[in-house]
Amino acid sequence: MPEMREITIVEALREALAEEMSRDPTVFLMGEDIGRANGVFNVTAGLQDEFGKERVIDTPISEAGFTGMGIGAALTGMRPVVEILFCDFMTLAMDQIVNQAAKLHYMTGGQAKVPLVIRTLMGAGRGAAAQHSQSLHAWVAHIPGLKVVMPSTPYDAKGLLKSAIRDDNPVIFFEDKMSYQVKGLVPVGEYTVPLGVADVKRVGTDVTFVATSSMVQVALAAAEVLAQEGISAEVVDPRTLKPLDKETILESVKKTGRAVIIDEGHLSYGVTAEIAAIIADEAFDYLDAPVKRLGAMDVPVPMAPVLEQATVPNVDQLVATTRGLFGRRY
Amino acid sequence: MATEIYMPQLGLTMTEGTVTRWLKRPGDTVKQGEPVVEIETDKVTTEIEAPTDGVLGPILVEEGKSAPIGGVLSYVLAVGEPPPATPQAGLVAATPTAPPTPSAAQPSAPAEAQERVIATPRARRKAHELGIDLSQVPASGPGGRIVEADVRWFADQKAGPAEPAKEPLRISPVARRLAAELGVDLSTVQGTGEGGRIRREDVERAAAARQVAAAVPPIPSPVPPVAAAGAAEALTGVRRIVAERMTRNFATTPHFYLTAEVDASALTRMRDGLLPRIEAATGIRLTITDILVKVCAHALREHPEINVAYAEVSGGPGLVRQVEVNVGIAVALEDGLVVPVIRQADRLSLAEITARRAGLVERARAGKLSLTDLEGGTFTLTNLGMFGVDQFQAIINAPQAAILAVGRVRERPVAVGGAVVIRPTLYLTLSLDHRLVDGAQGARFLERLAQLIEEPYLLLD
Repeated sequence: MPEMREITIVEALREALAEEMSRDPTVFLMGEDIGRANGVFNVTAGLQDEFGKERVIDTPISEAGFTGMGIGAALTGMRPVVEILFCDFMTLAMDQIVNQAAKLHYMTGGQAKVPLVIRTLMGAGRGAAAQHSQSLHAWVAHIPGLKVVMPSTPYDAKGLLKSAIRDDNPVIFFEDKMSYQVKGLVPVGEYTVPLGVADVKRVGTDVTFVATSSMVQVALAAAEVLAQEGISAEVVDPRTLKPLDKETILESVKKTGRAVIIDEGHLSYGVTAEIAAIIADEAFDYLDAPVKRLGAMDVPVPMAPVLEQATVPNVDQLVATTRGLFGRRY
Repeated sequence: MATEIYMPQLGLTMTEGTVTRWLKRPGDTVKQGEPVVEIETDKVTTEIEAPTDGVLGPILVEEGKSAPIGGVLSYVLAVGEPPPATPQAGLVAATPTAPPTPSAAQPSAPAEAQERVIATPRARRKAHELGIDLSQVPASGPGGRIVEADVRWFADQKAGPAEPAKEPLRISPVARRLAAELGVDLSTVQGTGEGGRIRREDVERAAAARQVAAAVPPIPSPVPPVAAAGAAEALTGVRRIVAERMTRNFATTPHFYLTAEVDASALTRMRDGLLPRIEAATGIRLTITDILVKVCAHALREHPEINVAYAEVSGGPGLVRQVEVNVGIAVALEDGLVVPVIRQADRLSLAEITARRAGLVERARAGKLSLTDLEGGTFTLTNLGMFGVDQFQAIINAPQAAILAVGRVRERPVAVGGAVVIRPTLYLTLSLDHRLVDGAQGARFLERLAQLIEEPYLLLD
């Protein structure tokens, strides 16, 4: 067992960036307020001092421009890590992401590659209103050619970010703004977490929760409540939406016979629908109850904290939904 | 709209119930809250009330047949409303359902009941695997859906209780092999794996418990083989439950026993003195048992280390420290034994204990105990004094840690200050779970019980 210590997701991400920059001189960072201001959420704190202004570049507010710069740099052999502060602003760079980054490898017949990482923020919970609180990961997960990563723990955050930086494809890396201070054990030395491998965060026998990002914490808390009632929930964290580890999800559902999928994106046409469809398709004969989904309400995220909380899946909702899957015999 | 009358879940351990008596016939008018059917579970006999006003529908579970929790027993219908086609009926009897009214010359229901059965894919798959006709399986899932558990339950039922000791359905291959090696009877092993599957650990635990039990001196000799004369008959009802519980409790709880002879002079004086007063106030005669409940409760409050229960904590041994002092009293029935509970006995006056005890015993004899009467006990008192027993050792009412067995009060010669005198005495025998309590702790508790009996004014301290 390697030596472990407890750190936050912010610290885990900073370590991943620093280690990859030390390891590989082609890795550099670009984004708004990441250098002198240490990053709005402190992720990049101290990195400009350590690696210099040429490798930790403060950009103007110009998402389309610096994302395009990142793609260009990647095409010429660099491994840029671009930060788009809120994923709400990813809309400004959508042409670069969808029409350029995702397509170039295919359209050049494999001659070009775009080893770009875009780090961006998702999630409600800070009363930041409708334009700073969205979870738009489903948008990019829809596009062939992009990889999509959503860590929920410090261990996963660090290991997945290092893998994302080393990957030759464009990777969109979603960080949840409410999870930054989540603590967890992280090994002292070098390790990576491969993209496309789900993690069973809690083992159970009666129902499978497939939960992403901050919803993993919701699922674990709900599992704890349900355990008191004799319902044993298994929590599967896909960790990456693209590639998606279908096998782990299906294996769990085949065991438990029931599935609830929890994701902070809007319910309609979202991640939950995709995973539910896969389960219905490939584990049909194992289902002992309809597949249920919990996502953000189909409304713009409200600013008022009470209303904001009401739009995002929570523990009570998940517990109630799960109870509904069990009949009178339990 | 038809409202289901279904088998309720009356306790965590309940998996099914038996219909003992229909109090209403199909077609009878019923009022909400009116008892319509009497059911028996492993613990209680109770009445199920009509969920709403209306007319009783067809009886789907005949008297003497059982149904799983949630299994539909009948419906309450609006006047003139036909019973629902029965995909979700709790049809457990293999025989077709009786038509709603005996005289009705309508086309018989079974012919029309060939509608689509609502079952989950998993239930269908399991039914296919086990070769079970889903239309026979009672549904307990949300929306009247047949779920996998229903199919499993039905498969177990079909195997039939009359068959000789069937092995539980779910046993891991390793557990099966190990059980054969260690000579453990799988039918006595409680499975803790997925869906109650018996795993290797369960067999190991059963084998270990057997060894600990064997180490305690008063081990009963193995049951002799049934005499050739007379066929063996299966135990039923409460008798069967008692048999199963006792086997499990005794096999898995490492008992040890402590006995003391106690001078009962003050106890009998106290009873004689208080009896007329309490009888005047409550109309009930104070018994030695009532005073002993008070004594036990008082001592348990002082000795919380005895007021505990065994529990599994993440697969290993653990204990629950009880907050309340709830004293169960063993009550003999015609065909078995129940242990209703006097809750928070440490906070009750003797008159209150007397009144509660009388009520519980009366309900127990009438078979009318509710689940609340039976649950929550943290310690048990069993008194066979009235049957002329001097002394005996009781089996612990698991998961409780201790039980006190009390014999009769009788004048016996005792040595006092170098002379033999005649005194009323009684024997207390404490059985304790050695996993939770050691000899010295048990002895201190027993000593305190003896002290409180010999000097009952100490109850005032």
